[in-house]
Amino acid sequence: MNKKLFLALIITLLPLLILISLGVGTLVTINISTLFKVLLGSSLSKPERAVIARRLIRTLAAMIVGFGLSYSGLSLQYILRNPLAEPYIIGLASGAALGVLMTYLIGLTHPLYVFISAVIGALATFLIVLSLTTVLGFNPLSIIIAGIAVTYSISSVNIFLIIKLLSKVKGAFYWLFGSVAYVLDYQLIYSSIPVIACCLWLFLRSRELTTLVLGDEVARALGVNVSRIRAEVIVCSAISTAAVVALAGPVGFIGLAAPWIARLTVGTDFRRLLPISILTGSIMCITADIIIRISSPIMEVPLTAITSFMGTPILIYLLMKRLGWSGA
Amino acid sequence: MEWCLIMKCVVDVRNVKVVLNGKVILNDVSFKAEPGEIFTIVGPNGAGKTTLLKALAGIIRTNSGTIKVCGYDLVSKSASSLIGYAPASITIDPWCKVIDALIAARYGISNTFLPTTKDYEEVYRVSELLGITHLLNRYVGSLSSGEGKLVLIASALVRRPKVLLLDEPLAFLDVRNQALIMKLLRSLSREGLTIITTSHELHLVSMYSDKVLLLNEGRVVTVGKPSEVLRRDLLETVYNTKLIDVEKANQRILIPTAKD
Repeated sequence: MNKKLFLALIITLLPLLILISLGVGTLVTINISTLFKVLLGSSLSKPERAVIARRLIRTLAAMIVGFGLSYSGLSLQYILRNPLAEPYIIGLASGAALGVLMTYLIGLTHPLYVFISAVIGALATFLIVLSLTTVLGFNPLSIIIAGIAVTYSISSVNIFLIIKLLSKVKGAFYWLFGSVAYVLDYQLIYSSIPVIACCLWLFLRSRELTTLVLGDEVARALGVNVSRIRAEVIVCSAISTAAVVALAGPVGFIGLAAPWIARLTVGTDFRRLLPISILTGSIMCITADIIIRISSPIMEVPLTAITSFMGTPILIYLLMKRLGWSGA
Repeated sequence: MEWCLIMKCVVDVRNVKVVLNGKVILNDVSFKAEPGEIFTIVGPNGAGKTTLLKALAGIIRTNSGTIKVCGYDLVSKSASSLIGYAPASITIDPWCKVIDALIAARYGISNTFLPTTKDYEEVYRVSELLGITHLLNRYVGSLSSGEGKLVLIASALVRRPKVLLLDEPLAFLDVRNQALIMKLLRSLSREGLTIITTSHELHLVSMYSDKVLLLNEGRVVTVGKPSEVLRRDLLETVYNTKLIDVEKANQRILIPTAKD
């Protein structure tokens, strides 16, 4: 797809999808013309206001999920030089989920404790993955194998813990498979701050990160402190993933699909890829949430089910176009 | 091309020692490469050629000794902006487009956040010089070894360096591209660039180098003009193999023999 066309498409799609997301839902459907009137200053009835406020939180939560996971995935792909790296596959998401579940089990449900515990869970899991990778011999494949092995093991523990918590926490089961249906306003604020802060930090490091495509040695010769950049990306990705998981659970596929859709359309320069990946990730998550609300009004399906279903064909189509290194 | 109108760079290496994983790789290495000079490091596999080049590029820290580039200490930011380094084999992300890799290599030269027209102009200029403009929109993973090698050399040249460090610049290249690179190095050295390379192609080294350093087991055996260093007796001792001296069209070359 043409770069400019893709850019125009995603910039137009995002506000449009936000409006649709505010309009559609199970109980009340507010048409877009009414929403435009609200934007121009018209007032709504009290129930409509409440519905829109609720949907706004849900929409912003979906946006933050896509935002955080897409740039975490992109940065991890850069520093690990692995096209398959993403927070879910390398264990950050399941580790963060374990951290969240532990706090709920202990009873420390304040969002700050939940977030800190999620960060610790994500970083500890990454260390386990890294140790396993060292044993297997560090290469792009071994980190994925170690990541998948650790993810599955921790996910099993998570399922066991969630069953224990089912009666205590509302929406706990949905949360484990990714959902923004039960997000509360204060949770959204607590999660948005670290996600946006870490993204800004990495954005400022874009030039250094871009040099990593040349290989560690060449980047070092250019004067880049490669080890520091790697550590910064891992910490930022862990914080961002932890914040997203604390908010909506471990949502899969966005961290892999969004950066790849961006990369295959706009090239490989991190400075351009970061904003495009974020927009793509946000669009994917909001769309997935809209589909959930339309398709299953009574019993909502998890977010991961839709993101995977939606992202796979797009990703396969783009990869097929580039298969055999056919170039642009 | 006016590469080095303002500053001409001397690379001054004194008593450099490098120890990696408890093993002494380089010991008491000293030499001076002058501007306008093509300086080639030769020696058997494991002699420490690549380690020396990496030490010059600031990739490997030296345990003792000093390396000065244009009078700057190598660890300073100023030194890295003067150097263009290309490793022996392709290290660029296979999923990266050639043009993006070459733009990324301008780090430290261009100070704007996003690449500017000047960055793209420089990339196109160097690509034309190396005949790789048709590769710019290809993914690095789709390139042949020879094409990849040319891209690596281009990534060092887009920095408009004062010192060019090329690890085995003629490896993987066909004869046409070997001639292209040798001519290019000669023309860059005439502009005042200091060029340091490593090579295993002893027959080509004498054609494009001004000075040769023979390295063995991390120590300098001798430094001098190609005719002084690339002597059969000396090389046979260092490489521990029999060589044949061939003279054709006023060129003297040393080649290994398959006979006992």
